[in-house]
Amino acid sequence: MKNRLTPEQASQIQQRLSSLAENDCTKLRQFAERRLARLGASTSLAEDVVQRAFQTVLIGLESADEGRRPAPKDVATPENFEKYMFSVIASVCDAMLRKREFQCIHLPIREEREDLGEHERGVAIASPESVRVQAHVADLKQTLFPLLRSRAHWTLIPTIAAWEDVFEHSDRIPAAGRHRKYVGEVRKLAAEIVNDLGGLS
Amino acid sequence: MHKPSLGPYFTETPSKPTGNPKIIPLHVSIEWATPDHSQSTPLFQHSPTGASRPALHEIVFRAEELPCSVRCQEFQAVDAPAGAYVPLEALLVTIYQNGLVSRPIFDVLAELSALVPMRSSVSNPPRDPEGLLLPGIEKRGFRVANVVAGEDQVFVDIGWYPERNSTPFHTCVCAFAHTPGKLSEGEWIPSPMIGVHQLLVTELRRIATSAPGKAITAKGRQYLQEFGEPTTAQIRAKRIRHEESADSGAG
Repeated sequence: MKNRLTPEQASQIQQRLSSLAENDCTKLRQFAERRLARLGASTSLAEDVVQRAFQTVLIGLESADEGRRPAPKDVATPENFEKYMFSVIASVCDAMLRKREFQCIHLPIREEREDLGEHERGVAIASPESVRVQAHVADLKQTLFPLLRSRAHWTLIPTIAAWEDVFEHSDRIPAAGRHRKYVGEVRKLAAEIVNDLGGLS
Repeated sequence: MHKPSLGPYFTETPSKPTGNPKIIPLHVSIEWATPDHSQSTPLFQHSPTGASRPALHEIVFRAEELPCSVRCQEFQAVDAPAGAYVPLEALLVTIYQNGLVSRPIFDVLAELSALVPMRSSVSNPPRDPEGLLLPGIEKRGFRVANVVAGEDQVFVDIGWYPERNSTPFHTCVCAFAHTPGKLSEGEWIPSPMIGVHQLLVTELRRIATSAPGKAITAKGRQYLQEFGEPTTAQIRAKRIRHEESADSGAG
């Protein structure tokens, strides 16, 4: 956690911000325009960039963890503060280049996946593809479980039964109130069977 | 080869309020269809400052309506309590680049511009912007939207105008090095951002195939040279810097 500003420092920063004249704001916007142009970005974002730069400093006044806080030398003179604002604008411009990905995950309508937390979002769409996947899963279930039961030690049978109940809906093998090592053993055995069957093509 | 497709089109459709004062329904949807899929997605204005008209990058839609995975600029995505919103620009780029749609992008943006009047944040548009680029380029709607003078470069922001006086869609930036009385042939600056400018610059470069200097008329060149000439303040600042460095060298 960074240091919170003293009331004197905060008041000095506020004073510098409020004493910025229209001419100073124009200089800041022109600086933002040059910076954006050098990056090949639209210069019409300059106004937005300057507003974001002010917002960052204002947030820094109120929070110790977010925003930016100028050092005492940065607010010592109007010239220093202008330079400081230029550096904030440069950071805002660079941050604007950051990208974010939204993934679209197609799932059968009735399937609720627990592992969607790692993605931005999930979409429930019934498509011909999902119907094919369901048919494939049903075929696999019909083949896999009799073979599993025939090869498994009797201690694994309850775990296999619990998995069979949720097989269409989940990739996970439930522990079914038993020792977790059984889950690993069932998974290993299932992998061997699938391998013998020629993989999951 | 592209599959047959319809759209994208923008249509007026009433939408319910989001309950979030910063996410305002535009009552316009984007619609398109392919043989496998059809989509109609309501659009919203992300208005963090309360501006009445959106800028293009502030037009968003619900992430849960995503028909395919998209990448966007992080600052354009909105995380609202009821879910995330994704910029329309990112969706347009994705569906065009993936070949899902093929309607001319000019028609699509002109339609959007007519239905959703957008805010222009261009600070320094040329007073007489016509005739700065070659007639064949301006005829397609591309014009100089803004000129920014750097220390040793002049940057030209080219925009695409659906109508003569409408808000431009950013297309690209080119840079010209200048020395007194002389302007270089310039270079196209590749944009690292995701947006419709990626589609527009592709169209522009079909007609402006060589250096940007070749796309500029004599009038345009003269206009840019004015930006290249140092102002009295710049000359004075340069002299002061020179004197300071001479003093520190002597000291």
